[in-house]
Amino acid sequence: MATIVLLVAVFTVIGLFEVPKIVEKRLWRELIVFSFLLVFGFTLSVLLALDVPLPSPARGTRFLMEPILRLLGIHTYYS
Amino acid sequence: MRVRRYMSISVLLAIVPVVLSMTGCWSRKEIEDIGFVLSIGVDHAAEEGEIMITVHIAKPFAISTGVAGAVDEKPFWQVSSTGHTVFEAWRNLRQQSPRRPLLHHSRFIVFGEEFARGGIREAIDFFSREGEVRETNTVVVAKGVKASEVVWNEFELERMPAEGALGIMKIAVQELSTAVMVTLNDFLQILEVEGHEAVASRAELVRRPSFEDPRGELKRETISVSGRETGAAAFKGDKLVGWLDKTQTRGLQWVKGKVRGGIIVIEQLETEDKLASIEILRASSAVIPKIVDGRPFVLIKVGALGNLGETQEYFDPMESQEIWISMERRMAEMIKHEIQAALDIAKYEFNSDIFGFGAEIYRKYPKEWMKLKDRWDEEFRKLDVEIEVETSLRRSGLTRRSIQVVRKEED
Amino acid sequence: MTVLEGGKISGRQFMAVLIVLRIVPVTLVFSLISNINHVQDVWIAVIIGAVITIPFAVLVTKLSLRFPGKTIIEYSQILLGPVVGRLLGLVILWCFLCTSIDITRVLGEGYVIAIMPETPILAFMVMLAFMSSYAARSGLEVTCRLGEDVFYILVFVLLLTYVLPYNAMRFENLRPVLAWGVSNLVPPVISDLGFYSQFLMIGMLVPYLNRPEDATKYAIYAVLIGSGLMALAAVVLVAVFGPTANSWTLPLYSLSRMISLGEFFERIEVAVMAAWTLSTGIKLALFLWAASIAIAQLFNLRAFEHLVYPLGAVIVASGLFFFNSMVDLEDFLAKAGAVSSILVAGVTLTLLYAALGIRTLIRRRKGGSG
Repeated sequence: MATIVLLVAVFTVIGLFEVPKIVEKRLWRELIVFSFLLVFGFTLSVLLALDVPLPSPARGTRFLMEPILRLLGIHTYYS
Repeated sequence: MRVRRYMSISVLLAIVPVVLSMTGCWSRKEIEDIGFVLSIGVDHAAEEGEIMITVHIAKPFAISTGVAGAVDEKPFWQVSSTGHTVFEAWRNLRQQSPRRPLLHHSRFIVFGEEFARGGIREAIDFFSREGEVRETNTVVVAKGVKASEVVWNEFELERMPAEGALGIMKIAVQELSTAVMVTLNDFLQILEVEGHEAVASRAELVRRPSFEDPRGELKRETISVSGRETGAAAFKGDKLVGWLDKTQTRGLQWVKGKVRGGIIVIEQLETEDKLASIEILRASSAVIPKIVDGRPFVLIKVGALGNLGETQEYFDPMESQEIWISMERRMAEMIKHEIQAALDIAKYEFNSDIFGFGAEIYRKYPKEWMKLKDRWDEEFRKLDVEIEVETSLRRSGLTRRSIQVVRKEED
Repeated sequence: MTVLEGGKISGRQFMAVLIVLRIVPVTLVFSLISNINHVQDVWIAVIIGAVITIPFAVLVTKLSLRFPGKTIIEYSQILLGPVVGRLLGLVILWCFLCTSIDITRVLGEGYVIAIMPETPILAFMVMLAFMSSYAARSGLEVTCRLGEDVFYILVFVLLLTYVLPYNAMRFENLRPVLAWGVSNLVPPVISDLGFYSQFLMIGMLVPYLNRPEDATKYAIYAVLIGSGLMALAAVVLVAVFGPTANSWTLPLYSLSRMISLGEFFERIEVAVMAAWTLSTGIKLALFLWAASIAIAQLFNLRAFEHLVYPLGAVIVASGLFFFNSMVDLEDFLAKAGAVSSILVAGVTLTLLYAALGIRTLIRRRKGGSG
């Protein structure tokens, strides 16, 4: 729970730091992208804090690159 | 504005690593809470399959050279602990040590003879994986005894056992060339090099006859058991196979080009029972492998420079150049003899290529080595080795001719 | 329309930043040497890598010079049209983000492994991300000026660690040369090229050069100096550690621990650690800046600096769950990660040059007919 409180605090600070500047300059598109990134980062962090297993893109990349690596004769950790 | 921002970021960047490293110290390395381990020994424990480690830890409060007078306490504490692995044994040490033992300042890693004969593979990984251990530690094998007895060998002139052993070893390596100092890095490397077997320093116990003579001392303190650090331990793979004595060790060092000093005693020219000492100045060596008709062959070229240091009989080198040249020749013969002694024991007794001839062949003829390497044990035993020694005597000290004892007629 | 990034950088800063960008994985995990079976040939792999990279760097630079003032994200939209160009831009952005994530995690792992095993890795990652975001938010000019200074520090520290363990070096460890054939060199060359494919960054930097005509020259210098520093590291590591050189998790850190010159110089690994932190900080700042610019240009934004902090947060969080362990991370960086970034760089370059070729053909035909 403490970690989540801390996360809320951190992300609020980032929001409070940037949002007034964006609003002042009337950059509405920026606000949308900014909010999306912030919410995305926050969700990710909360999920991590709650120990939810997240699929790693590294795994996907490995799976895709497997045939090429085999062609080159490189042994990987997963094979 | 940009400049100010630049400055502030630079300061931030500079501060961060410093702060990070300092918090590391603050959080867990209070100097009052740690015990510096100076050497660590590894043995089999009494329990089957367990490992015993013995460390000697400095007692900082007993070394302090304060004005308050000499401290009566031993300045170190030796303690053993057991576990299934080295790491477990090491961690178990904390059950006994009120201060956290730390390996950062350790100088020696000692293996007991029995343990080393059984193979040290199971113990060495810890020492390269654990960040506290420096790769510059010296690897030592205790001859005839357990490491636990050698780790805290005391020496006169040094309060701390490890410092004493280090001093003796350094002097023996530099001024006698009858000892080897093998760092952990070198040792582990040679275990992996093809066609090269490892050697390590050899340490043993010396019991001194104790005699009581209270002259000139306010307080008695004799060291009845001390250490000797000459010679070398020869390995084959990770197993100890035998010991090199002083002569053989110097023979090995000649081949490796690591002779830095020492005395060679030769027969003086005319009179066979009189001796002369030659001080070695420096030496160099080259091991040149050759393949002749598929058979390996090694040429060892050693070059040595020396000074004439002492003669037992009257001697004047100005008489004829033959005197000087023949002394150089006998010096070369002595060196050859030492190398041959090392070669013989390595070939016939240990059958272990401690000279790295195989590695030299691998480096020069990698293709031929691939064929040789599986039967290198036999090939090494049969290996033809030619030794070429070139010596040169440079100076004769402060005197040219020796002092002549004039016979006085007494009737 | 306001300019996204108003800063200008000098050729020397451009070169310094590129070298830092390549040297950073080397100062931490030296994937090249960790992925070779017979270590004595690793310097040859470095040279092969450099020989392949120089044309790549030149091609990226020349392409950027055809579109003055435009980044690779912008001109791929011009060349390939808004849809395909944006897709390619997204892929490049993804690469920038992945690199940021990798290096954040690697620095954290390095700290935990080498210096403070009991501190949670998150602490180091947050610290680095904060530091770098702060620099990136200040713009390219500040980052590159810092980058140049850090480059000098880095080179100084590296040269010190190359020279000082001289009494532990045995150069016979470097022989035999090429005894194990070319197949021994494939994994290290792949990992080297994987890191060099991050030189797509050139496409983001060239438009901000104050003298763009020097870009090619400095890009080549960057490859040469970067590879030179790495080849030296390879030679020294093999001389000092022999066949065990590929056993280390953090080879240069272990190398710095071999230095003992009296009492004073024994703790030089602290300097190495500082150089890691600084150079990784610069690299992360650069990639955060590039990612923010890329997002801004992909979505037609007018300011990029507001995106830096949230991106930093995303990167720290991702760094935690992308890889299970250090072994996982090392394997990914040198193998699957390297191959995928080589693919991205190769495909990007091929697509863009193909589009350029077709455009010039069409224009020439039009010109010929008209």
